[in-house]
Amino acid sequence: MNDNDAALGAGAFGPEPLHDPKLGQLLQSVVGRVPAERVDWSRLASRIAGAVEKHSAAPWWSYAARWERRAIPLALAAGIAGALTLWSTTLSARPLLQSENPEFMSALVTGVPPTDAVRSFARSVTGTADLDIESPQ
Amino acid sequence: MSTGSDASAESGSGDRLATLARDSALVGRVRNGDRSAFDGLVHAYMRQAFQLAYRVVGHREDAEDLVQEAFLAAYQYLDSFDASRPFGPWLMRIVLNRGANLRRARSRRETEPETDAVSPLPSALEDSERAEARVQLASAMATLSERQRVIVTLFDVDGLTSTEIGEMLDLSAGTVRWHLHEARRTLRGLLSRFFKGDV
Repeated sequence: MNDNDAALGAGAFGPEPLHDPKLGQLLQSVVGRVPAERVDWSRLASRIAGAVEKHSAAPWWSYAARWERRAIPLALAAGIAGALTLWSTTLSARPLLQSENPEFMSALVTGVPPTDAVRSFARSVTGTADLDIESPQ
Repeated sequence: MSTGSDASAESGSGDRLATLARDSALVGRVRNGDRSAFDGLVHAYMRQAFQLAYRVVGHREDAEDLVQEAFLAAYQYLDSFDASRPFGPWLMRIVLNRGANLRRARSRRETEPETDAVSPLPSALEDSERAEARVQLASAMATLSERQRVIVTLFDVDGLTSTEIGEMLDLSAGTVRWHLHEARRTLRGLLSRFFKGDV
């Protein structure tokens, strides 16, 4: 057993120590006694109730802040899912938009699709060489 | 056949169980949206919280502010409180932690206790010794940890028992006695001139 153990034993496992009036009086001269009689307890209780009420009527952003732990990952996941969906849609739509069908793009811009452009586009989509498309009159 | 101390222990245990049941019910009601139930907790622990707050910050108005702040924090974080445990020590821990922060933050402010709360030093001390004694006592107290300072004050100034302090601070009575022993040893060592013949 070292000194610390001895001190711990004497302090922790001994009987309830007696109050030391001399030390108590010395300490009280520095720290004072608790001025409980000077506290207006009903006023203090009202102050606490008021603070709690004010907190309860918190603005909407405090509720948002309370949910931010869950909302931020959810928003991130939704954003990623949305980006992936958009990306895959763009990939499938790419032949329509790319300039490998210049006639179609020109028809799209001018609004008057020439027959060749329509055929060319239809060929690129269906992969069929001979299409039976009637020319516009 | 039970002895008197057995009966007292049983009675104390019964009181603790009743307090636990009451607090648990009040906490449950608050969690279910009954804000008025929190007033029950406020009335039950306001005085004890003030006593501890005053012992931490050493100023009445600061102690009242600290009590209000601690109860508000308890209300805000009530969802994280384990209702199977007593509410009082949880609240006192908030008081102790926030009080230590407040003490540091307001270190520039006058922290001398209010004059009407201070008792005179033992009459055996001459006037010239009193001022010096106060300075020595204050510096000796400053060498103690926050917990030891609070424990020795609650025990030797306020007259609480180690069990009462343990319940307040969520410590075992043995741990309280160890901190008390260490605090007294430190203080008596630093203030040996005032304890001539006592040690």
